[in-house]
Amino acid sequence: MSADGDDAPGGDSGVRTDGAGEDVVSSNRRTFEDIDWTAIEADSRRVPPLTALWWGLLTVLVSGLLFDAYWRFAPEIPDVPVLGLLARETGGAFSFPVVGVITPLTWLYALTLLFVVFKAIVPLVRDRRMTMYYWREFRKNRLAVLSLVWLAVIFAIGTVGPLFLNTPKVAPLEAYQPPVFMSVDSGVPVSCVGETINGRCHGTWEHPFGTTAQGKDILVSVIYGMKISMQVGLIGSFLVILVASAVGLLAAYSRGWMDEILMRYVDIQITFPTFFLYLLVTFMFGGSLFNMIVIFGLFGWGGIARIVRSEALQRREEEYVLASENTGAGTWSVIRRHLLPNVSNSVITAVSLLIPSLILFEAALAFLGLGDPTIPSWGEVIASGRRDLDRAVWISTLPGIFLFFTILAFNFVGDALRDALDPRNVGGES
Amino acid sequence: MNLDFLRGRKESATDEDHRVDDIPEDAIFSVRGLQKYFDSGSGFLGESTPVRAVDGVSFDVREGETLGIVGESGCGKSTLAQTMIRLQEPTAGSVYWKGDQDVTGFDDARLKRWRREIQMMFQDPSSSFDPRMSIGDSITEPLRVQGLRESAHRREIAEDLLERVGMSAGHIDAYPHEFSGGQKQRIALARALAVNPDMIVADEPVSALDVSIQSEVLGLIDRLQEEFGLTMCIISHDLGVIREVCDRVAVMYLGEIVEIGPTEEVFTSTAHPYTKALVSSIPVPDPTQRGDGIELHGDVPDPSNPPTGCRFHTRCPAVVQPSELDLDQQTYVRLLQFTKRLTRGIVTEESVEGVRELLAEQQGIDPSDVPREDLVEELREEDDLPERTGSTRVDSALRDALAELADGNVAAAADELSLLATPCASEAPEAVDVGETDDHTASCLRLTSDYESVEAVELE
Amino acid sequence: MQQPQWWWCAVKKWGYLVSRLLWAGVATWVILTITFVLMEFTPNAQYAQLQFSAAQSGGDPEQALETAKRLRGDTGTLWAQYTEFLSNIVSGNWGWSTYRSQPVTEALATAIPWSMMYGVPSLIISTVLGMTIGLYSALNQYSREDYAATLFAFMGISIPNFWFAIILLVFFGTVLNWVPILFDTGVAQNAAGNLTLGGVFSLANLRQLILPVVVLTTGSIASLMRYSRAEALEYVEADFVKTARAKGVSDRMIVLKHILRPASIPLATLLVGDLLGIIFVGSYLVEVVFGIPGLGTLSYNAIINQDTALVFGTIFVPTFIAIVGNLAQDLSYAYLDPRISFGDDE
Repeated sequence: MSADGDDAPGGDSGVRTDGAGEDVVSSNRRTFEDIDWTAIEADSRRVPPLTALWWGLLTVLVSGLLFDAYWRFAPEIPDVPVLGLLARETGGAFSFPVVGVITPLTWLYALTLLFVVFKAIVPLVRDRRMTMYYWREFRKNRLAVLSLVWLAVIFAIGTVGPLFLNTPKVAPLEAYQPPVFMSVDSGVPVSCVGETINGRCHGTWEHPFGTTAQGKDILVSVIYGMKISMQVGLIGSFLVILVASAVGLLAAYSRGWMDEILMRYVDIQITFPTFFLYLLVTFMFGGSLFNMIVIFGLFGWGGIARIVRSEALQRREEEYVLASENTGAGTWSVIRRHLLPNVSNSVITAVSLLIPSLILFEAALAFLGLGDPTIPSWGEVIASGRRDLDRAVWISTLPGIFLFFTILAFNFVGDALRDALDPRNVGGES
Repeated sequence: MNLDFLRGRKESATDEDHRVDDIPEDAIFSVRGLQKYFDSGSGFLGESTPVRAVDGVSFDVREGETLGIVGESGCGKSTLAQTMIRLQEPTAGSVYWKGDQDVTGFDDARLKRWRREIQMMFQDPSSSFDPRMSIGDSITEPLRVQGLRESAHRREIAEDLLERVGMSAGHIDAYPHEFSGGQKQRIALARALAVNPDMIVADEPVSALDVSIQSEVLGLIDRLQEEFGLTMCIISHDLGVIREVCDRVAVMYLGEIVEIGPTEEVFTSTAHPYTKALVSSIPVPDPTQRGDGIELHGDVPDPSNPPTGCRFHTRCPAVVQPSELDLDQQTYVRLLQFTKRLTRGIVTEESVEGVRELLAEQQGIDPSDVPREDLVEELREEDDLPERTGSTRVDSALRDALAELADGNVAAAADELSLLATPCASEAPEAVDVGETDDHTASCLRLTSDYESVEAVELE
Repeated sequence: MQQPQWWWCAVKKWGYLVSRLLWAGVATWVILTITFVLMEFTPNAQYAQLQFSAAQSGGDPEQALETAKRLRGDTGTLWAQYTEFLSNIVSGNWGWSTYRSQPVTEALATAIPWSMMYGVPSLIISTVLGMTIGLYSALNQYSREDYAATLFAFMGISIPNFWFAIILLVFFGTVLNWVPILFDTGVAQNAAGNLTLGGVFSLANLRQLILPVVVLTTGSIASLMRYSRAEALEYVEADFVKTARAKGVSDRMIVLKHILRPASIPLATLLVGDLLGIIFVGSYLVEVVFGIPGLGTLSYNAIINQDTALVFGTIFVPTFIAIVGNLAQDLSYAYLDPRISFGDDE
């Protein structure tokens, strides 16, 4: 008795029945013997929807970035009719509702997020068992889990906050307000927003973290600082991963003289401290966040390139790569499907330890006054409070706490990731 | 994106000399004059003498049969396996599929399609699977690569395949590290079957497994071969495995095939001395039936500098003596191997100096004072060279050679012994039919008409 | 079958040394060339100003630029300027600092001792403490002390040193008044304004150096601690150590002979290369916060004052030291570790 509704092409697919003549579930199964290869070859021209979405968004964002970067240097701003309906022109840049002014940095950030979603989150969701396994390993380190929560909060607030809050405004009358849980001698602030009790001005909820010497609200500054730090960390590491992977893979696959040249170049690049390079660039061209991120991204990838190269060299000789080539997969396909995922563990660990140093760099440069003067960053606020350490200690202290904890959190997470993703752990029998 | 140009792959050259005419009707897979050379790159001062991993191999695999390829480690078996399915590009030679399709000339698209017709099972179960992919994905990867997009379809196929190799379909989402070696080889078999090939090449399929599991997996291979009418080519260093599952066997030594024929015939009516040595080394459980295995003396040659003539002659216990000589075979072999050590640079001026210094230490004198006779005696003992060989000519030649050696003249010493030169070193033997059928051939000078008259040498 | 000649091994060994030295030279040259190119493209403030005023008063800006350049000796073809630049650097003429009104080399010479005053102690303390604690952690893995040390290491790496410096200043300076808030250069100098040994080691000077040293040390000690722990762990777990223990060798001997010696090799290399890097970057911020007139402050002020020659001079010094440091690192690693052979990569 053949199975009802047997839709396997090619007819009977090896029906197995149990004793009572009932069809076992497997009887409806299509087997490898009845694959219609001609139909499949015809079908292979179709593009799956997710891939189409990915390529579409990628094209849009990259062209947006190039376009935007270009017309910043172009003599005139082109008259774009459609955009004009949505945007208002503000001094040479388009400003959209909600998103705000679109700068090359915005495009870069969007690109980064695109990659994160499609190249990190989607594979994690697809490979749920593996992800669960890693999560279980990661969870063992409770400090790291706490850190992850902290980072998630920072990311959330940093992304959402600036959409609803305006940049901190200079307000000389509200200078030197203490935080809500503190009080300061009433001679310090020009006028006290809160109550003055016993000659001490108390903080209010209007300025929960107090204000700076210029009257800027510190909480708002901190929130904007979160956004800045997140951008620096994410975009910077995104660029680093891109370049490092490309260079590392190229070196590993080409061997010979190309490999030599690339690695020699990496040697030089690693020797020259990125910090000083940025100092030079600031000196010559002025400081801006975009410059900073791009410089970090383009010159900080050396160490990771080395990691990618050595891992690629190792794994390339593994038999599963050979097995994959045996199925007819092209070199690029093998790299994408087998090499990169297996290399990614070390890369992710290294990057998670790179991000805190990027954030620290940005803060340090802002502290020195060499950062981007137009944006509020943690380093900048800390610097602004230096002269008033004896009177208004909160200005330098509070943003620093956030900076400290964020960097600490990244370090904890990175360390836990290294343990969880350790290739010696994957595979019970090593 | 094809990065092959960066990897420096050589173009495959279809050897014009081998036509398709001599391919038997029922042969599904034919190899003609296949060569694979590697740049050794480790030469002194950077010269590169190529490593000749596969050096002119020809054979046919008939439809439905199981051909075994056997040899010691390092003889080039794995390289042969990978080269013949173009996982590595051959340096020269051709491979033919079903008699008339020249695999070595396939373009990329055709090659990819061909991968549906022939598949490979890899040796090391612990590294032949991507640790980050579930085995279900690994099994159906060939399908996905070949264009089967629908993941539900692939999943069904994977479940079916798992059951066919004797495992539960519920394992489909598990990862490689969760399985034992034997299970992984079953999964490897499932992966090889996925595209429904006509032929499977198995590279050491059971070498990494415990003995008890080996027969299980071999039995599975046997059963599936029958069920699906597969042609199989099994590479192994284990003669026992070969004997169990193979219809025909080819014996490889240093990149060449020295004997090929039906399994039982090769095992019982062995023609080539190397094969004889291999067969004699199979452990036999019954103590009364055990003989002494044939011990091969001599050093294993370097594949980048193979011996001239018959490659096996430096280790062959049945090496042909020059017509003028008629020594006891064992003595001759020993003398010949001593000569080889001189000519191939294993005995050097420094090593002689070393012996001299050793003697000096023993006798408590200065090295330059060591009497020559003592040194000669020591050298004679070291290489186990007899005083009397049975031929006065050879005796005096040996004395002269040892004298030269004691003076440090290695080349002159070798010259003195040139009378020992064997025809096996100058003539490379052609494949000769052995026995009644025309199916069993071996490449040994002893089998040719010129040397048939030489007394057959009985090897224990 | 031929054994490589003994002299070939020697050639390889010394060949490595020579090639590394050559490489360091090449790297230096590359960086110098890049610097030169950058300098050519630097918008020079003075020139810009000159051109602007020339244009304003109706003169020819181009002419004014040329004159100014000729006056300063900035003439000649690009190649001529390049070769002159290179020869200047090599001969020690690193240009004139407008901000300090002295040759760049002099300015550097005055600043470097101040940086060394807190830099050298930091280096020594971090190394010694770092290695010791790391070793201890490795030997007593998973003990409470180990966890504490690891935690401390994490915090050390994470804390932004400029912020840490500020906090310490506030606490120990303002609140407790144990250390002075402002850095007093006179304490270490004699009447003529020159540094004296007595002055440098005087109590007053040491007091004001404590905080900078602490800040710098906490940053660098952490990474050294973790590295030495990881390295020593490799040996602690190693079979040969277990064998030694089984043979009854005392723990102390084991530590000294079997762990310390092989572990110290990579540590020595880490010390030279990476630590210097950390300290140089960190010193920048520390000096600015504490007001120490060292290399970092000099560089910072040079940037603010648009003093091109000085900027490049102050960036050269740490870069060169980094190159030398890496060179020493590679060489010591290659020569001290008996496991490494020469020439062949993978």
